[in-house]
Amino acid sequence: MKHNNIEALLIDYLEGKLNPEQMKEAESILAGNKEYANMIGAWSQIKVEPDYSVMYKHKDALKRQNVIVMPIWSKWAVAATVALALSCALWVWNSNGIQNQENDLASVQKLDKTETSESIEHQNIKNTPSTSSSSMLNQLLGSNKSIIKQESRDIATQQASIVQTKQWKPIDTNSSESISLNENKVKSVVQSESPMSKLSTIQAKVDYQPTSEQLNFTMNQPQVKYRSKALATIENSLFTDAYTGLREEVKDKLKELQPSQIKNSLRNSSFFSEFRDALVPTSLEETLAMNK
Amino acid sequence: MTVQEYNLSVELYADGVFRFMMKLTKQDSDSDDLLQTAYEKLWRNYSNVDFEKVKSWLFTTSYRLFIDGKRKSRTDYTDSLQDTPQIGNEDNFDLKEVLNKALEMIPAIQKSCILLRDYEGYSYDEIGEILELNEAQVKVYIFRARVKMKQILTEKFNVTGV
Repeated sequence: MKHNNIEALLIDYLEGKLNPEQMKEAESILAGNKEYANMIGAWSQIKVEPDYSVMYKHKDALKRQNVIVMPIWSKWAVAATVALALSCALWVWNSNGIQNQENDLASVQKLDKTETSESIEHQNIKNTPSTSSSSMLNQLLGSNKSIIKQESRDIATQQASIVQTKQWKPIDTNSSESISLNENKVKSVVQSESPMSKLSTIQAKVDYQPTSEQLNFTMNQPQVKYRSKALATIENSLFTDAYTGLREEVKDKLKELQPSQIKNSLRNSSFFSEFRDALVPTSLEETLAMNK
Repeated sequence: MTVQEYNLSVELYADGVFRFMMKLTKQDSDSDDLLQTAYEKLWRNYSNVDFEKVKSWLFTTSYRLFIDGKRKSRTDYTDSLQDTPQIGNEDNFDLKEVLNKALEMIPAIQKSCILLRDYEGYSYDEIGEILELNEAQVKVYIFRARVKMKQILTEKFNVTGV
């Protein structure tokens, strides 16, 4: 038997854990080996006892209060939640900023519209102009033209930045339905026969504002707020361009009209009164002078 | 294990673990550090530790911390005979003191087995779990440790009758 096995066997012998056969084997080993026999004899004496005077003095420092211990993963979860909340807050804040900008523009338009109505009323004009969008646009292009242009430039710059950073790709606007629609409408106005019908048609077309669907504008990422802002930018731009082009064509058409026809138009057309600021004295006087 | 049971484990077992560490490190400050680290680990995992096994958990953790510390300091922890205490007038020692002196002169692994057996009354398989040994190895280490201690008592301390 190996030493290791003998030592383990003798331990069990001392512990009284051997069966009768193992007991005989152990006794035979002890009878044949004096050292083992002496060791077993002294076994009970070779034992150490703990020194109970040695005590840990800082137990209170080890004790804990009944607090919730957060595992490591929960700390990451909290961090992720905070980051998500901050992102949401930033998104909402940014959205509100865009909405406020849109609201500001809308209030400017509303204010101008009101002021236009009031000023016209004070002037006691017989044919009171309607508060149509052509009037509103006329006022906007007149008194607030610079503001709108500046704002349009800012929005266009922002939109260009957004398109660049977010890789949004507006569909080719040159081929979009809205632009061709406006061009066709302008052409149809210019080509119409009766001056009055021309003017009324023009007024109707100036009232026209392209809708988001007509603009046929899409982006790779459906960010609603950014989308509406970008659409508003394009709408403003198209509307302005359409009005400017229309006005120029009206000027050209007026050159072809007889003075009497123009005078009648001035008296009878509420639309023309709205265009008066834009056309008189320059265009109209020039036209009359030319026709003379 | 609850927080109350954690605190109870401090009350019940901190002294035993501290004495165990004191015998292994022979340094009060080292023992203090190891004990605090073991309880810090227990606090982080107390909800996963069964209170009935917390004593064994504490001894196992503190022993492993001791071994890791020894490995980091590149000290041969299995041979503490290099740290043989200076022996003065051997005739003045009583048997208990002499046994403790002899205990300091045996290898750390044998000393750990003896301490867990004699101090804490662990069974051989429990000692094996704590020290990561099998039961037979524990028995062999304990047998050889007592043989060595008896030899030291006889040869170095002139103790007769053992």
